[in-house]
Amino acid sequence: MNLNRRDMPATRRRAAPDGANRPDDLRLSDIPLGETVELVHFDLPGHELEPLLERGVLPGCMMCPIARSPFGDPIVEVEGTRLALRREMAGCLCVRRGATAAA
Amino acid sequence: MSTLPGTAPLVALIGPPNSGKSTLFNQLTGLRQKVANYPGVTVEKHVGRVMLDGDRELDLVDLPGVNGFSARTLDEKVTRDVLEGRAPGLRQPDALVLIVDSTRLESQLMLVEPILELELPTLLVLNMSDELERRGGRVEDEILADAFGVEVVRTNARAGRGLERVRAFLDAMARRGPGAAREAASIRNLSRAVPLPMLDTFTQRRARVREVIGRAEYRAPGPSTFTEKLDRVFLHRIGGPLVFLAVVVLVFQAIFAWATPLMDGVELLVAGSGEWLAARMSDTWFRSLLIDGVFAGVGSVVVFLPQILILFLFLGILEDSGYMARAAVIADRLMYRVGLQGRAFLPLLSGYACAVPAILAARTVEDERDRLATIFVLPFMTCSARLPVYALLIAAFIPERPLLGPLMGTRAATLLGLYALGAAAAIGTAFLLKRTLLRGKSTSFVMELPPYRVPTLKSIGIRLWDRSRIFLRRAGRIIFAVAIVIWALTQFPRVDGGPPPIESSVLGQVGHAIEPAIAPLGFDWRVGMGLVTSLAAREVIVGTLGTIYGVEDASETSLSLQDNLQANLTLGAAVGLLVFFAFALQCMSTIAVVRRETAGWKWPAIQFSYMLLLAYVGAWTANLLI
Repeated sequence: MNLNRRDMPATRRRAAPDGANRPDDLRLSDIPLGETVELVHFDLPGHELEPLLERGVLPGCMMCPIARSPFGDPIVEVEGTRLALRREMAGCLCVRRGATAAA
Repeated sequence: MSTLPGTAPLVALIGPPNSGKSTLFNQLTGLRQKVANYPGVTVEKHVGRVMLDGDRELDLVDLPGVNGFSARTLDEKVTRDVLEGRAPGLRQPDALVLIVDSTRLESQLMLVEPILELELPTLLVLNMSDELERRGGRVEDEILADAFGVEVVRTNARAGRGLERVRAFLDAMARRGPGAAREAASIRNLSRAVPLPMLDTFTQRRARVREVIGRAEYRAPGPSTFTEKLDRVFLHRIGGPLVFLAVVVLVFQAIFAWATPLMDGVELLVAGSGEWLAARMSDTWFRSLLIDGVFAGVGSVVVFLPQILILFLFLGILEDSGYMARAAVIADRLMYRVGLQGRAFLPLLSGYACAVPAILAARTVEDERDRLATIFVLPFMTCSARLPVYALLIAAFIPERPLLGPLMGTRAATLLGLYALGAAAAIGTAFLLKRTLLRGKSTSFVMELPPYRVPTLKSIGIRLWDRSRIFLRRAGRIIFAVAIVIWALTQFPRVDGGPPPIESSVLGQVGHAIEPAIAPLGFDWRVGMGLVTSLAAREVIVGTLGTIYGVEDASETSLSLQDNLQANLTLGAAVGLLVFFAFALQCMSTIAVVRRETAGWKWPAIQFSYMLLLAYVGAWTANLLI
């Protein structure tokens, strides 16, 4: 498996924009199929945000992974739209389990 | 189009991808549309004419599907230019039709705000409204119309419902006349220099959209069970790639097995008309030019048309049904690890028929570096023109013996090996490129998977018509020119007022001249001549060799031609020749198209040299080892 380090942020657990370091952040890549979670914030540089923002992927929206490739790249359903993401990007989306989801 | 361009009012059709924009465009304009290029860029410009009541007409431009106007992609940049009146060749639109997929209203209406800022008369079209209702969704049009201050129309573009109201809007615009020009307010989008507020802008915009559709009592439709069921198979961890493989095999089968009778038919037609003409002309140089030069040359290109059409038919069906997006995603998982994008999968597949339309199709790849990489490696895909050469050499030099029992013999295995060689070269080169000349971070890849839909005959038909026209024009023109040049090379120096024997013609002299260079590969001057002529188009070498050996009706199945080759080439040289053809860029049309798509000679030159070098080394190695 070739994780192209140059394409990812320096470390996965880097400080969030407001300065707080949250080492137990849940990432989209940790969520099992079929579970709906809420997007909390992006761990991505600004210019990479745009394709997501334009398609309505914003903090506060609900996401649900519905499929995954053998490599781990997910397909998520976001408020009626199905989006395919690369594994690295899924690792940069910080999410939170809602009250309706199983613990 | 009868009215002069530029004098009719211009309306722009704009919306996100997969909103049914092109379907609506086709419904309104039919065949009265032209596809061209926005000057200087590789984005397609679709302009059509809408015929309205009372002899009124107006021009409709189908802008590329966009999700925003930040000019991050070429599509967005071009769209923005057109809307602000800055696109050369198109003045600012007099009105806009914004079309969205009503089943995904919340995310699709994100475009409304920037559009309204333009202060042009706008019509909001809620497409796929049938589906919205069928899946239990609803919305109050009037409240939306009130809130946004625009007219709102519901349509089902595929079925043609709601079109009269769209035409009524267009009619009203046509009545106003062209050029009700006003100063366009610039589209207020933050430039990429200010990343943080971008998030805020989008969040606020989203909140406003939510508020409006809340007031309009929007109820999102239930999930599309059709799409869900299909995706459970097509996106399955194991099942997905299997289906993908099956689809690829099916397309291949269609291109090769099914196209063959059609291609034979075209070949007969071309040869037949050539003979018919020859019989009615006196034996002059002009007849020779027409029959041996033009007919032979152009005919060799036209012969591939059935294959190209079949390929595009399949690709059109796959694209319109929505499966292509899934295929691109599955392909992306493998491809981005070698430096190519999932969207490049479709163009690369097309390359198995012909690289020329495939290179044009590479425009769908968003990232410029990825697009360049795709264009660069495309000619390695084993195009149909290589097949006659492969067939001839394999028949002449590879004895038929079973390898995998009845399943596969040595000949088929060799052919498969050559295909694999091409694909391996493509992958390896892409990898190399991404680490050297085209190094850079891969951009974020977010691919939207549209709901599955049954494709309409009309849209596929229109697209087929467009593509074949473009292919014939592009490839045909180049081949025509090159065929004449090569023909001329065989006609001089004149002997007794007639053409010289082939070895002493200019072409023959060139062959002798390069013989020392190709001797290490086991080639002689005859093959040298063939290599020169095949620069026009690969399969031309078969005819050239036939002429050199004085074989009547030279083709890849001609036994006397095969015998002649066996006498002149060793097995090693023959395999070397196969490898040479697998790697070398021997297609003037490809070079011409690459030059156009990369706007310069730099990339075609690098590509040609690289592939020639690879071909030479490969052939030399093969000759050495065998």
